[in-house]
Amino acid sequence: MLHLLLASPFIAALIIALVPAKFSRIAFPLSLLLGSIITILSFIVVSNGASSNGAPMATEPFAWFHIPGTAATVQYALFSDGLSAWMNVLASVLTLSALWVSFSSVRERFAMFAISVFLMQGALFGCFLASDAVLFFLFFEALVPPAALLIASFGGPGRKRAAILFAAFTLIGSAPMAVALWAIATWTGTTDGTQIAHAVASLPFVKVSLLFFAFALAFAVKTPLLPFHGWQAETYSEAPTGVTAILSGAMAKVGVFGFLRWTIPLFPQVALHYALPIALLGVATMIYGSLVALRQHDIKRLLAFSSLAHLGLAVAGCFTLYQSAIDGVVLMLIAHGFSAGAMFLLASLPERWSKTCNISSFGGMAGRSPIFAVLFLVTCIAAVAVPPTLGFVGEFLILQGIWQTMGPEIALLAGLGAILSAAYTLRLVQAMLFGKASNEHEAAKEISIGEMFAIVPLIVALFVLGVAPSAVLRTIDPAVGKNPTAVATAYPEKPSDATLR
Amino acid sequence: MLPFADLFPNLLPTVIVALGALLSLALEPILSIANKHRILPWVAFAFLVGSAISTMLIQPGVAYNILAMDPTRSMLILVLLVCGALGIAGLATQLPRTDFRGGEPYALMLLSLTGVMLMVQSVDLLALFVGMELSAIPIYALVGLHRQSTNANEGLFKYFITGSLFSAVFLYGAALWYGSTGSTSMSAEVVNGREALHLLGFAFVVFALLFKAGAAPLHFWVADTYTGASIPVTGFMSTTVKIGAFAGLGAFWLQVAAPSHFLDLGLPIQITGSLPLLSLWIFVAIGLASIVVGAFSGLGQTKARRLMAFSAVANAGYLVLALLIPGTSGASIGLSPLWFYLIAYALSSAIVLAGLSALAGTDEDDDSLGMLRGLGRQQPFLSAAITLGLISLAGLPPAAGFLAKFGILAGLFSTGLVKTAAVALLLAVVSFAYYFKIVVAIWQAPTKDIQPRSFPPILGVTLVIGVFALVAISLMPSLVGR
Repeated sequence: MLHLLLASPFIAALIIALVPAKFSRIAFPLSLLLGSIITILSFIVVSNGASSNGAPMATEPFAWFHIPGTAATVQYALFSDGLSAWMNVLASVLTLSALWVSFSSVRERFAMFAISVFLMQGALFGCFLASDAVLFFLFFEALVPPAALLIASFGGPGRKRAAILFAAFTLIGSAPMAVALWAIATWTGTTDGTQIAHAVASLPFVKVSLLFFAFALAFAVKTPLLPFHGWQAETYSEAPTGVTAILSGAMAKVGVFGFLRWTIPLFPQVALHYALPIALLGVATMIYGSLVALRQHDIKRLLAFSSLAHLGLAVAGCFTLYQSAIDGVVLMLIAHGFSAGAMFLLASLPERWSKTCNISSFGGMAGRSPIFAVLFLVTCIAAVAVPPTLGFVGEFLILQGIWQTMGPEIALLAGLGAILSAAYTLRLVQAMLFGKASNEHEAAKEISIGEMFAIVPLIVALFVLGVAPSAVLRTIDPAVGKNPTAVATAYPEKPSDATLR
Repeated sequence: MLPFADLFPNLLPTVIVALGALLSLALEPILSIANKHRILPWVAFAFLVGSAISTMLIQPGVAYNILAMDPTRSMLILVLLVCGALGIAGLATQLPRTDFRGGEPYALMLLSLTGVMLMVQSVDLLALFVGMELSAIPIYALVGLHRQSTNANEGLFKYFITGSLFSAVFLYGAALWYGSTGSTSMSAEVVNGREALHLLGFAFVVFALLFKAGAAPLHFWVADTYTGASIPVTGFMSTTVKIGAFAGLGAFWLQVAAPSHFLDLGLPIQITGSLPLLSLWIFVAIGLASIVVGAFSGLGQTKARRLMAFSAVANAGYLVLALLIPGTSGASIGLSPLWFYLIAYALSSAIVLAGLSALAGTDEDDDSLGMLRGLGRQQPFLSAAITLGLISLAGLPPAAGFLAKFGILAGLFSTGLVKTAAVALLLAVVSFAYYFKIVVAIWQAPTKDIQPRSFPPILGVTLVIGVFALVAISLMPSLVGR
C-alpha cells in the first residue's frame, strides 16, 4: 500500500508524459482523475492507521546500496504513522486543488506543469514516508528540481531570480545535513531511523550537537525560521499561485515534519538542551513575520509572511517537547496547510481578473463578487484560528504547552503574535472586500463553479475538523505514542519545567 | 593466466567494434552520398549491439599479463558502447546538416572506441599506451572535421600539440618504470635502490593519464577543444576518453597498491606495495583544484558545450578524489565509488550532448543558451532526456549522480578528509547553478520563431537506451557491483 502510494505520483507523471501532443486536451481531465485517485489512496492510508489502533504501517526493508568506507547499508523502507498519513493527505489535496485552479493560467503548457507538480508530490510523499535517513534526504533534495523548474518556467516577472534564490537557499541549507549523514554512517554504521537514536546516544555531546544543528539547519531553511527566510517572500510571490499553495501548504511542512520526525527524536538530549533558544527563535519568527505582514502591499507577499509567522509558532510548539503541544503542532500543520492553500488559491483569482497583486487596487469586492467575498472571508477567519476552526485547537494547545513548559512570559509573547495575525488578516479583508471599488476593477467577475469545487473542500475540512479534532487526534495520538522513531521515545522522562527554564 | 582459447571471448567485444570500423570504411566508397548518413550509422550501431551481446561471454581473468577482464571492466565496456552509440547517433544527426560528404567519421569513432576498450582492459603500460594512441588519433581527426571553422582548427591544434606532449610524458614515465622494475607490467615490483626512479615513473604516468581525463591544472585544453569539436564529438570524447583514462589510472593505482596479483577493479584490496598511496595529498589538491576551476569557470559561460567542458573538469575532480577512498578495513583501497561515479557521469554527459546535437548545424552558436529556448515545447521527450542527464550531473536525486556524489563524499568523510568532502559538496551546489541555466533555457518560451528541429530515428533509439541505462543504475546501484 505504501509502495503504491509513493509510486502513484511518479506513475501519474509518466502517464501524462505519454499523452501524445495531439490529445493534449485530455491532459487536464486526466491529471484531475489521477490526482483524485492519489488523494483517495492517501485517505485510505489514513483510515488504515485509524482502524488498526494507529499502529504505524511499515514495509519490509530492502537493502538498497552500501555507503563506501562504512558499515552502513541504505535501506529502502517506508513507514507511516498518523503524522505521515495526514501530511500525505495534505500534499495530495493541495496538489489536486493546485492542478484544478492553475489550468486557466498555464493552458497550453499544462502537461509539463502537471508532470512537474506530480514529481513534486512524489518527492513530498517520499519525505513523509521514508524511514531511512538517506532515503529521506534523497527525497528532501528531490523536492528542489521540480519546484525550481515550476517557478522558473511559470512564475512572475522575477521568476528566474526567485528560482535561483530558492534553489540556492535550500541546497546550501541542506548541505550540512549531507555531511551529518556521512558522519552518522561513519560513526555508527547505520542510517536507519530507528537505530540512529540509540547509536548516537553513546557519542560525545559535542559531536551529537553538531549533527543536531546540521539537521536543524536544513529544516530551518525549509520551514523557514527567522534568519533563514530570505528566499521565502520572493519565491512565494513569484511562483505561480497553484505552486505557491503547494510550497506553503505542503513543502514548508516538510521542515516542521523534519523537526518532529528526525531532529528531535534522533538527538533528544541535544533537543532538550537547546529547546528554549530554538523555541524563542520560533516565537521571534512569528512576531517578525506578523509585523512585516502588516506592512505588505502585495497579497502574495503578505500571505508569505503570514505563513512564516504560523510556522514559527509551530516550530516553537515542537520544542516545548510537551506531548499535547506536539499534538497541537500536528493539528496546526494540517490547519495551516488547508487554510494557506485555500488563501493562495483564492488570492490568485483577483490577481488573474485584474492582473495585479497590489492590495490597494482592490476594494469593494464584497458587493461585486459576493460568493468570492464570502469564501475569502471564511478562509481568513479560519486562518486567524478563530473557533470553531481546526487552527484554533492547534494554536490553543501550542500556547498552553508553551505556558506550561516555558512560562507565561513567552506564552504572552506568542499570544501577541496571534493577535497580530488577526490584525493583518482583518486589514487584508477590509482593504479587499469593503470600501470603495477602485477603477481598475471595472467588470465584476465571479468565482466559477469549477474553482469553487477546488477550494470549498479545503474550507469545509477546516471547519469539520475544527469541530471534531478528535478525528485527527485519534489517528495521531496512539501513533505518536507507539512510533519507535517519533516523539514519545524521544523523551524517556518528561522534561520538567525546571530543566527548560 | 588464460590459454589462448579463453582469451578469445574476452577480446571479442573489442574485435567486433574494430571489425565494425573496418566494414564501415569498406562500405563508405560504394554508397551514394545521400545514403552514407542513412546506412553507415546503422551499420556501426549493429556492430556496437553485437559487441554488447558478446560481453556476456566474458570470463574474468588476465591474459599474458597484458589484458585483463573482470565484472567491473565488462560493465565499463558496456557503458562505453552506449556512449559510442550516442556519439554515432549524434554524428548521424549533425553531419547531414553540414553537407558533410564523407562517411568516414563513423569508422573513426569506432576505431577510437576500440582504443578506449583496450585501455580499459590493459594491465601493462605499453598496452595502455597503444590503446591511448589508438583512441586519440581518430579523435584528432574528428575534432578537426570541419576544416573551415577557426574554432575547430584552434581546438584541434591545442589538443594535438598537448596530446602529443603528454603521450611523450607517458612514454617517458613508462621508460622510467621499466628502468626501476625491469618490466612494463603495472604490477612489477621495484628493484632495490631505485625507489626514486620508481616514484618519478609513477608520477609521469599518472599525470599523463590525468591530462587525458582533463583534471586541473592539466585542463587548459578542455574548453577550447570541446568548443571546437562538433557537439556529438564533444559528447563522445568527454565520456569515452574519461572512462579510458580513469580505467587505466584505476588499474595502475590498484596494481601499484598490491603488485603481482590479478585484481578485480571493483573489489577492495589490502595495500602491500611500496608507494604510500593514501597519503598522497597532491591528489586532494588536484581534485579540489579541478572542482573549483570547473565550478567557477562554468558560471559565466553562455554556450552549452563550454558549460559541459567545465562540468567535465569538475567531475574529473570528484573522480580524482575517489582514488583516495579506502576499503572497509584498515590499509586498503576500494574503487567501487569511482566506477559508479564514472558510469553515472559518462551516461549523463553522453545523453546531454547527444540530445543537444539535435540542434547542431553549421552555425557556431547552435548551442548558445539563447538558441536552446523553446526546445522543450518542440521536442518534449528529447528535452526531458537532456533534463534528466543534467539533473544527474548536478548530483540531485533521483538521478544516479546523486548517489554517485553521495557515495564518493561519504567515503571521503570516512577516510578522514572531512573538510575536503564538505568543500567539494558546497562547490557541487555552485555548479548546480549552471546546469540549472541550461534546464531553464530549454523549457523557456522561445523569443523568436524557431526553425523546426527534427532528428533521425537512430538518435531516438540510442537516447532511449541511454536513458534506460541511467534510470536502471539510479534505481538499482547494485547493478554496477557495489
